[in-house]
Amino acid sequence: MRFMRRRLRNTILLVIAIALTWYAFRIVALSLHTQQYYSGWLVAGLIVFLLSFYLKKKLSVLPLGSNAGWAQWHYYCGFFLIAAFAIHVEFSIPEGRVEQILGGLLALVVVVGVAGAIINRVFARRLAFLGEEIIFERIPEHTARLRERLERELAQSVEESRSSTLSDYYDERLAGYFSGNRDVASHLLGNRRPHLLRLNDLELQMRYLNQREAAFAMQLADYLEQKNTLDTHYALQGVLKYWGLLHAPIGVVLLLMVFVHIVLVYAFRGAA
Amino acid sequence: MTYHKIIQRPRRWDTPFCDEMSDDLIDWILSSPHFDTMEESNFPPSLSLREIIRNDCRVRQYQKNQLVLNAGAYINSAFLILTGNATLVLAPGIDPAAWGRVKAPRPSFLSVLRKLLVKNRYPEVRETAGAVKTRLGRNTRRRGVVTIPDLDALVEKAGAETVALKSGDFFGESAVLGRTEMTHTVVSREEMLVLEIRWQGLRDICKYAPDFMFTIEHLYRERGLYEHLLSVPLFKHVAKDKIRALADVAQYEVYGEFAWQRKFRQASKDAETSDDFNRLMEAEPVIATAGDYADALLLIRNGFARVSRRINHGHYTLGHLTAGGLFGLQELYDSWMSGEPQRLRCSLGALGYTDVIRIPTDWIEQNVFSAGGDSAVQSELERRLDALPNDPRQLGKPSSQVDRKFTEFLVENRFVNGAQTMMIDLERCTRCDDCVTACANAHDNNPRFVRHGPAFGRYMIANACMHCDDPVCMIGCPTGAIHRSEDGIVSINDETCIGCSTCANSCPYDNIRMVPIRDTEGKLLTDDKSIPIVKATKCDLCSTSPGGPACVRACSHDAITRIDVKDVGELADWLDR
Repeated sequence: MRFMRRRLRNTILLVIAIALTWYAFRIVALSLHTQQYYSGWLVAGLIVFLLSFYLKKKLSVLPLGSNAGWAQWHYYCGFFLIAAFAIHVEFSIPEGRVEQILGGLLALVVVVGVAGAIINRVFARRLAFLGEEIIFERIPEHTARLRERLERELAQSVEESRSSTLSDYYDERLAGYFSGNRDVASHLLGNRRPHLLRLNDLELQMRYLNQREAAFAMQLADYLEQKNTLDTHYALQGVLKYWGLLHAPIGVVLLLMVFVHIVLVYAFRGAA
Repeated sequence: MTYHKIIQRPRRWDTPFCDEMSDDLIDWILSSPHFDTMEESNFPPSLSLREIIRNDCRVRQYQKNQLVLNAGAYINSAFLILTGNATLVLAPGIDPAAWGRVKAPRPSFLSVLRKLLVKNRYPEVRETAGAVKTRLGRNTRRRGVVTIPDLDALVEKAGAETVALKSGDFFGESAVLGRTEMTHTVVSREEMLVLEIRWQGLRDICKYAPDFMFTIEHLYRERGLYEHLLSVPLFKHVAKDKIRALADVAQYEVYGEFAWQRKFRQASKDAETSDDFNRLMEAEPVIATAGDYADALLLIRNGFARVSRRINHGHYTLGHLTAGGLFGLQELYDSWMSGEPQRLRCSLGALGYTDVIRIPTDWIEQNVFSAGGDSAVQSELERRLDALPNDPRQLGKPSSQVDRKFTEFLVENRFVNGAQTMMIDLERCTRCDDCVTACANAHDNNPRFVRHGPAFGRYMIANACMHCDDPVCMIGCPTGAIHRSEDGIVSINDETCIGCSTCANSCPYDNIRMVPIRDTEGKLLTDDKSIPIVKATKCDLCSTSPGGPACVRACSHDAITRIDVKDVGELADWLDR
């Protein structure tokens, strides 16, 4: 089944499930029961199920189905949780302090999760066509090697061209850039301006170089391209790697707050 | 404090094939057919015939009606009958249920969970460097003996042909030399003694005993031909006597080199520009050239062949053929229909090593094209002809399910060899390395693949063992540690691996890694010269874990798959999922 057809089918099923749930709790409310007790447990159960995905990921060796399948359930149950929570609070803004914290945490975890899903899709696509695949942990090593190679060639250029203009330019304008990963925000936004400014600056510098130095400067432009690619990998892969780490801990905090909420609800049940 | 532990470096014959090869037994074997004509003096002192027999051979005893080898098995040895008789059942063979074929059970959920919880702190921990005695022997004894008392009835029911084997006859040589699965079944007809010669020993004996090599090669080239022709779907409805006649006139041709990986590995590393790749393609042995008159039907028996066409300055790969593939059928059919000779539309080149059977035109015309009265033959022919234009492996039209340039990439890099190729969709992969972590968790805290490799657009072929149809990594392994199991998985027996790196150097795709091993305290195991003891490691498709490859299951983004690249339908489905 193709991607779009799958998405459409699952979305329709989700909408039907939400409608049925809403209808079921409406019947419960009409029969003079407090639907919040039932819908509350549904919300708590969904949160536990959603968090169990992270446990499953740690146990990939075990035959518990594919993580891709679990991820799909995670996404759709996540959306279902929003609807279940809305039904639970009867589509109103929570009033009590604990409820507000709960609502806030849920909103945060949803925003982080949805943003994570979008980031996964968008950044992975951008990384696919950056040329050679680079392993995140090796980026500092690649950067250091690039710098080392570049500085060796610059030293050679000084010797061969008997001029230090290019090397001085490098020390003044580019040494800092090559010493670490830069322009993270620009790379995340897909903004090439800082890179183009550097290339442009190098081009303007060309008029002060002799012929031999100009040849080295052309190579320096290649190095700038390579460094730019490394920085892009660093920025995009860094976010991909660490964004996911936010989602689960907030979810755990949410679950703890849900536990507190349940204890309080049952402790003060008579007052309701 | 020492950070390593000194042990003896493993050697080729530390773990002999069998512990029971006494001098008397070796003397007796040396007096048996084929061995009695060998000159022991032709063998070098370091590789004497007696030592090869002692370490690379074993004598196996079979009772009457006992199953010796079954069709479909991947074997690593050839067999020579010392005493007794056997029946060789030719393809299509008897029902596999007759020998109660059962797959080895996968470990239970709880045993895997236990392994996960009590795993070692250090990577690649071994209790010993190997040479744990004869795992193979233990398995053999443990494995149930299968007898087939009603073989004749089963053979009659299946309509299979048989060949009587007697003392001095070989079997299994085609499968072991061609690195293909067994196509026939062998059952003992009386108490029988068989000499099992593992591939490494067979290779060495062939090297120093020319007569023996001639016999084996002759059998390999000639005996398997009839069986193979019987298994060709296009000839399924042709009478067996006509197939027998074809076996006499068909020409058997070999293109390329058996150990093709050496040149390919170097050449593919050196190739950078499109001109380099064009030169590589032009250097491939030509089997048939576009524009020549079609004078025979070409049937691929082993290996791979590239179907290409030269357009202006470049070769365009239109597809590839694997074992069982046909070339020239459409042209021959058009020629027969029109009465005018037709020229071949594409060229066919050997990719590495290719066995080709050349089937004469007149035989095809008489037994396939003219068999209009025989509806079964006609329908099979029509089915094959209909399949041609739509099958990218055959003609690769622009409307093929898989992009032609992608096909070019897969063929050029010989990824068509892979039966379980790891393909990663880079547009979905978030580089989270969950696949790598899962692999490490399943294998001694060390992943068995690298999430890196050649990429075509958004698809990367990762450096993970592809469990090739033609596992050239097995060539040269001195102990037979690397082998292919019955279900086609290429595995390394860690106990018999001596860390010689032959397989790692032979793998054209760099998918085998040599890793230093440690004891349970994390100390490196070294030899007396302080050189670390290494073992070859590679993906084993998580054959010791339930649920299949952990890498695929671990990916949350559906970005990774293990795929048989030759299966164009499966590949197209995954690409367009």
